[in-house]
Amino acid sequence: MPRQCDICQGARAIIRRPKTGQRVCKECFFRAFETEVHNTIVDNALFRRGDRIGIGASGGKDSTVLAYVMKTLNERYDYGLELFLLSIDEGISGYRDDSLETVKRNRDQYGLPLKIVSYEQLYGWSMDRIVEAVGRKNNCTFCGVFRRQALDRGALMLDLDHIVTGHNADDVAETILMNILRGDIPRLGRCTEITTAGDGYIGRSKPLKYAYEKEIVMYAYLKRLDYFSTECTYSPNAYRGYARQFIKDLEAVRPSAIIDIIHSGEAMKVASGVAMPVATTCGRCGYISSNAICKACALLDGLERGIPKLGVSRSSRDADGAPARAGGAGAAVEPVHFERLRERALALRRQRLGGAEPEPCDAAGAACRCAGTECQ
Amino acid sequence: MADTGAGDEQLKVTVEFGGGLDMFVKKERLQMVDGAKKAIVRMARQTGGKGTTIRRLIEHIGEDYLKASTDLFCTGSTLRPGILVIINDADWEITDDGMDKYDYKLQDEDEIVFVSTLHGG
Repeated sequence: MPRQCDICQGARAIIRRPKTGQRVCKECFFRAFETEVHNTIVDNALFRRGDRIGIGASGGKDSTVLAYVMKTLNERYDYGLELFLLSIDEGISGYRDDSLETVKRNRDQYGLPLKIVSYEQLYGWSMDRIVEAVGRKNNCTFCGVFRRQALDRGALMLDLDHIVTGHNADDVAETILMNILRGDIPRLGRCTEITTAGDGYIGRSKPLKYAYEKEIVMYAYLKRLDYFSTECTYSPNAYRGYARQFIKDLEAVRPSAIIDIIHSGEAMKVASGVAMPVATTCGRCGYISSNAICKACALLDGLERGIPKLGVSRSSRDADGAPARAGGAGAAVEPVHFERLRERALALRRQRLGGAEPEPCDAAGAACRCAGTECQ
Repeated sequence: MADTGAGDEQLKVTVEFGGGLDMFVKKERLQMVDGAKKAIVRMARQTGGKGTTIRRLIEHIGEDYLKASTDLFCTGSTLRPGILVIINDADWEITDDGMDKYDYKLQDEDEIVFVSTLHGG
C-alpha cells in the first residue's frame, strides 16, 4: 500500500522513523538523518574550525555511516575540519583483518587518510596471542582496556584535536542500563555525556548519540555503503548481550523507549556523596590512571610474567589462585611513554605551522626519535 | 483452496540476508544474484484467508533455510527484535495504521531483505 512521505507529501514513504513515528521517503530520510547529526554537532559545539578529527573506524556499520556523514556534513556546512580514519588492529585473525580491508576500501571511497595502530606494535601482544595465554574468558577485558589507550596513542601519532566514535543511541541506552544494573554510579554519570575529556589527552565525542541503530542500518543499506558485519571471533560480552536484547524488545513494543532511556540517563544527577575515582598518571607509561600503574600496564605485566589473571580480577584472592606459568610469553614491548608521544605531536604541530621538520627516525627501540610514530 | 504444486500455484520471492544474517543460512540455499548472495524462495500460494503472508515466509525460512540456531533469526513466525525487514526497498514498518506488519501479503517477484542490526559496530 504505497503512501506519501509525511514531510514532502510527494514521493513514496519508505521508512517509519522510530523516534517520531513519521513515515518518510528516501530523500527526506537522508536529509532528516544528516540534519539531526549536524544539529547534534552544532548544538554541542563538538568541533572548532581547523580541527583535526579522527574517526574511530572499525569497518562496521556505525563507524562507516559516521565517516560518510562526517565527510558529507563537513563539505555541506563547511565545518573546515581535517578528517582522518583511525583504526585499531587488535590482531584477531578472521575478524579484524577482514574488517580492516573494509576500512581500506572506505579510505579510497571517501578519500580520507587512514592510520592503523596495532596491539602488536603498541604492546607486543596481538589478541590472538593474548587469547592463547589467557583463554576465552577474560580476553574482552584486555581488548577493551588496550583499545581505549590505543585510540589515544593513535590520535597523538596523528596529532589530532578530537576523536569521534560511532556509538549510537541504542549503544548509549544499553550502557545506561548496564551501569544501573551494575551499580556503577561514576560511569553512569559519564556515559550519557556526548563529549568526554577522553583520558586527559584527546577529547572524544559521539555525534551519532541520538541516532537509532535502525536508522543507521537503513541509511547504510539505502546508500549502499560498504560495511563489515561479522561478530568478533572471541566470546561476545554476555552481559551486554542481555542488555542489548532487552533494549530491542522494548523498542519493538515502544520505539521511543531508546531515546527515553537516554533522556532519563541525562537527567540523573550523581549524588555528591558518591566517591569518584581520583585521577593520576601511570608510573610506567604516563597514561591517566586512578592507580600508580594503569590498567593496561598491569595487564601487560601479568602477561609478561605468565600470570595473566593479574590485573583482571578485582580481588587478590582470584589473582593468587591463578597458577604462575613459567616464563610467560615474554614479548616485552615497553609501551611508548605518553610524554614522548605528546612531544612528538607538538613537534608535528610546529612543523605544520611552518617550523622545522621533526627529526626523521630510522631506529626502533631505544634510539627511536619518533615515539614509535614512524619507525614501527 | 489448499493450492500446492508447481507453476502458477507457486509464489516466487527473492530473499537477501544482510548484516551478518547470511551466516545462519544453509550455504546451498544461497546463490549469486546481481552480485549479492540471495535465496530464491518458492512457496505454495495460499489463496484463502490472508493469502501468503510474510509471516508464512519467516516460518518457511525458519523451517527450511537455516542452520542449527534458528532462534537467532526467529522463534516460530516471530522475527527476532533487532532484525530489519526491507520489502522492495521500503521498511516493513511503513504499513498502514492498524495493520499487522506480519500480515503483509507477498507478491510475485518481491525483493525481501532481512538485515540484522545486532552485529559489530
